[in-house]
Amino acid sequence: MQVEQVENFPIDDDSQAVIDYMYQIIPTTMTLPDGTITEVPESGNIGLLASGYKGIIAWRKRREEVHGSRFFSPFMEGLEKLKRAEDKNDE
Amino acid sequence: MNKPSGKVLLIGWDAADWLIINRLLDQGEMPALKGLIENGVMGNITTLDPPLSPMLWTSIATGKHADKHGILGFAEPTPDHSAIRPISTSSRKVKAIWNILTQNNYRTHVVNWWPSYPAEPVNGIFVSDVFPKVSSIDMNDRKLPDDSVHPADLQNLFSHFRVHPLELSVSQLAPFIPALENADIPINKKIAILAGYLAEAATIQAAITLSIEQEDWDFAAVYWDTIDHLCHGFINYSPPQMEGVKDEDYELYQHVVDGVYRLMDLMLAHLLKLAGEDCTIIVTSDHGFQSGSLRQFHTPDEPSGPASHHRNVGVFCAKGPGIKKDEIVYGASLLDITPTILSIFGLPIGEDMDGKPLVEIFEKPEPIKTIPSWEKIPGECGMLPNEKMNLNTEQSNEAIKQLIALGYIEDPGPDITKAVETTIDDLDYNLAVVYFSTNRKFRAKPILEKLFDKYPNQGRFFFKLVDCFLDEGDIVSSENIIERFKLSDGIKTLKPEQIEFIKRRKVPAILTDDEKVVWIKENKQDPLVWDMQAKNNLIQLRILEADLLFIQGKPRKALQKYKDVEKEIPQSKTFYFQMGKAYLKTREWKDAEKKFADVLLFDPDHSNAHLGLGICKFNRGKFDEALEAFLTSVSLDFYNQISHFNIGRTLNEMGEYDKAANSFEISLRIDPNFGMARNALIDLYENVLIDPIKANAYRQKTEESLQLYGAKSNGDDSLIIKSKPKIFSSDPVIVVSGLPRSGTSMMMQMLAAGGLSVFTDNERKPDESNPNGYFEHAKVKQLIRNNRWLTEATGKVVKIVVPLLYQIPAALNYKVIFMMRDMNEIVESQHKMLVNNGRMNENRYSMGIEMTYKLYLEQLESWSSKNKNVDILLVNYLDAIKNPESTAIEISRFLNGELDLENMISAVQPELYRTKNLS
Repeated sequence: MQVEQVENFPIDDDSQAVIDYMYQIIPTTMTLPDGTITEVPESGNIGLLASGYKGIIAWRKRREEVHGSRFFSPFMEGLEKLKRAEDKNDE
Repeated sequence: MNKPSGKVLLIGWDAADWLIINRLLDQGEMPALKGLIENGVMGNITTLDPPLSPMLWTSIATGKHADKHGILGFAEPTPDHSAIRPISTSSRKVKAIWNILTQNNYRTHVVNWWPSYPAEPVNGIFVSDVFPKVSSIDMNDRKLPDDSVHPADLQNLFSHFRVHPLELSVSQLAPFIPALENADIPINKKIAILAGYLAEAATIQAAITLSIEQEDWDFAAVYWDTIDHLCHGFINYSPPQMEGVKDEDYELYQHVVDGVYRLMDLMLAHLLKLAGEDCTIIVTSDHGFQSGSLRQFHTPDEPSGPASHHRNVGVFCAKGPGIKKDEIVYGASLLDITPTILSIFGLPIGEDMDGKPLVEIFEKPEPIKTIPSWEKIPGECGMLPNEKMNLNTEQSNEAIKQLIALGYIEDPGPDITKAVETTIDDLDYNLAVVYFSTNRKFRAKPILEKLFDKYPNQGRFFFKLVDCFLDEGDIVSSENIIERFKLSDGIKTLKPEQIEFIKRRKVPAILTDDEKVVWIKENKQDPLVWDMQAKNNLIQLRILEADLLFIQGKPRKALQKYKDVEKEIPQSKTFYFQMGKAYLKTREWKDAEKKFADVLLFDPDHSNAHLGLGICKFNRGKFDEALEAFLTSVSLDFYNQISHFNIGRTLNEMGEYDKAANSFEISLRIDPNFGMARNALIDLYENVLIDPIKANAYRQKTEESLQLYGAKSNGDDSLIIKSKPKIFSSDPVIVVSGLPRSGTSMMMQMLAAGGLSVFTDNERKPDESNPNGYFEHAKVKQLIRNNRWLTEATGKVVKIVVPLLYQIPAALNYKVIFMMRDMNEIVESQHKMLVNNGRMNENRYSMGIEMTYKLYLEQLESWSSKNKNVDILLVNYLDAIKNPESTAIEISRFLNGELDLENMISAVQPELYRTKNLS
């Protein structure tokens, strides 16, 4: 099941414009220590987290390409199931 | 004011520790830090007490102790006392470095300092410590409380870069738990905790990179608590495998701690690149963290108990323009960071700051400029306005839950009034610990008395209060509260059968799940935890009773008690340290040395154990080894005046007089009231280095030297807050003095009978004037020419009559028993002796001798008041003859010793008092 992930935080237009612009200009490629340029893995890596806001944009942009959401979580499906089970118990 | 061209980036790594870092550096796994160290300076940084992060990081940011800056713990009551909340910026009473820089028109960014919410309106970007924390499992719930980021219009933009733990993938967790990539491991609580802190770390890095890459800046400060939290959670799974850690857990989590250091290094690499070559980089931690054999399973069940896993030395490195390269810096304290940054910016240091600029890190240090206080400088500085003091309650509740989960604060429970009261008590206790650790026990005492009255069963209040009483020499009050503590349930342990009963108890099936949790806590967990604490208190109490004997001058009895306790308790560095001190007191150097070596097996960075070891080596004449031990002690804790003093003593013995003087001077700068250091300097300059001007200057005052090092007097809080308690000093030389024929030989005889060792060569034989002997030593007569032999007399009794008394060197401690006798009797007795010796005609008296003697006696008062290393007891000869019991008791008390009173009394022979009849 694909869980739809959207950013529903009420964000102002100016900030959104800056964010979108960053997504446009920051590439989804990274340079390895040996100089090779390679595509950012959609699952990310520790190097991307360590490189700061640009690494986070590159990673989320890649996830958006693969999963259709910048905020995809590999764990969400399982958590959704868990939540549904809990809701059922509550009923 | 001209701005310097460079920038300063301050990076805070909570709990970073050289013991782990050094290993990773050797393995090539922290290349960014390695580059920084090779191109700059590195060293230990000494933490403060209590080692609680919000207090420490605020001291780093202000250069002040917590009693001045006002951040006193993890949580605080809201202003209306309706709830508790995480400690906030609103509690800080003084300007932080970013406020001072804002006031001086520098662009300043701050990210995640602890505490830093609500965000302060600095001249730059301020991302508060609530920013990286996610409180909802719902990834789409990205709400942040107002004032999380300054300027407010950047809050939305920054919020986009918050990383949620659920976003992380297995690939991102695998460097910490490699097995995740190869096996289908269910996500458990530990993995969730790891993911949570990694997400926070990534958020912080995003915020600081965004700030310094997109906005101009002169100063930026960023703080990570990632190492600290993950060490608390995972250090016990690190290699080598600890006893009690399951194999499967060890396999799974053994790489987490190394992994977090590697992550921090990767982040550092990016920051170094962004900051550029003209930027000064400072990396610091607030304390270290016990690893390897130093680790402990047990965490004390008290607020702030997790801090017991910290080490008191942390990490300091700096590189940048004008900073030395590849050098080690000694003596850095958390309090020095802000003064050092101010120096880099060419700004004056506030004289009310407790730290000093680390001038030794600079290739060309500039003279230090000071102003009385930055607090008094008016103008906009970006501090929190009053209307921002109230925090968002919902967010506060989440943060409080996290602090409870981490063990830093106790679950306040549903009773808000009680929770507020407990929180205030904790803050008061932390304030008392600040006073206690900065030699202001007289301020700590009333707070601790109040807390002990309220909670007579709580060991943490009791043991510190006893220490305050003992510091004042108030044995009676100490014994009183020991009795009160004994009557409380603070030491009431459970019997084995009671423990078994508790363990066997079954949870009533009738309870709901929530009720079961409460039942288990109240009926099983709490009693067992309480029992463990009571057992711990009981052991500490027994050690305290031994300490008390030690303080009362009964080191042998204390040692016996320590040995009794030793059989029953697990090995402990604190205990061995106490034993080492007791052996020092009894001058059993080899045994003392062994105990200090035992302490160092537990904790190689125990500065006072190195100091103790050095004292043993010194007394065994191994000066090279002593010097090494003292230098190690100083490298671990620069602000220990006793270590510097001992370096001076050792160098003095080695003939390095100039260097010795330098060490005594440092000792005196740390503690301007340290009379032994001052007197050692006077002695050196007067008798060896022949510099009467300097000798005289030290006689006058030492105030000027305080300005250089920043250990200043600040009016009300003027006490020497950097100095540590004097745990060691050399044994005193016990001097019996007075005018010739004033009863000095009788006193020597009393002391010898009391069990004290006498420094005598027995050259002068008994005669009619002194049928029991003179107890003299030929070296005493040479005192003016050579006083080095006096070190041989430490711990012994030596007879030195006036005026030679006034020539004793200042480098040692003295207990002087000064005999007073009627002047006419003295003159008459001397006359008789000289006549008996055939050296004077019976009918001839030495004219003017009485006047000279009176002058000598008048000199006594001014001499003793100038020499703080001298304690004097005046003993009236006639009283001693008439009432030897009370004299013996008085002397025994004065010498803090266990003298044999009966023998002393019987040594007094009134029949020898022949000059006048007893009346």
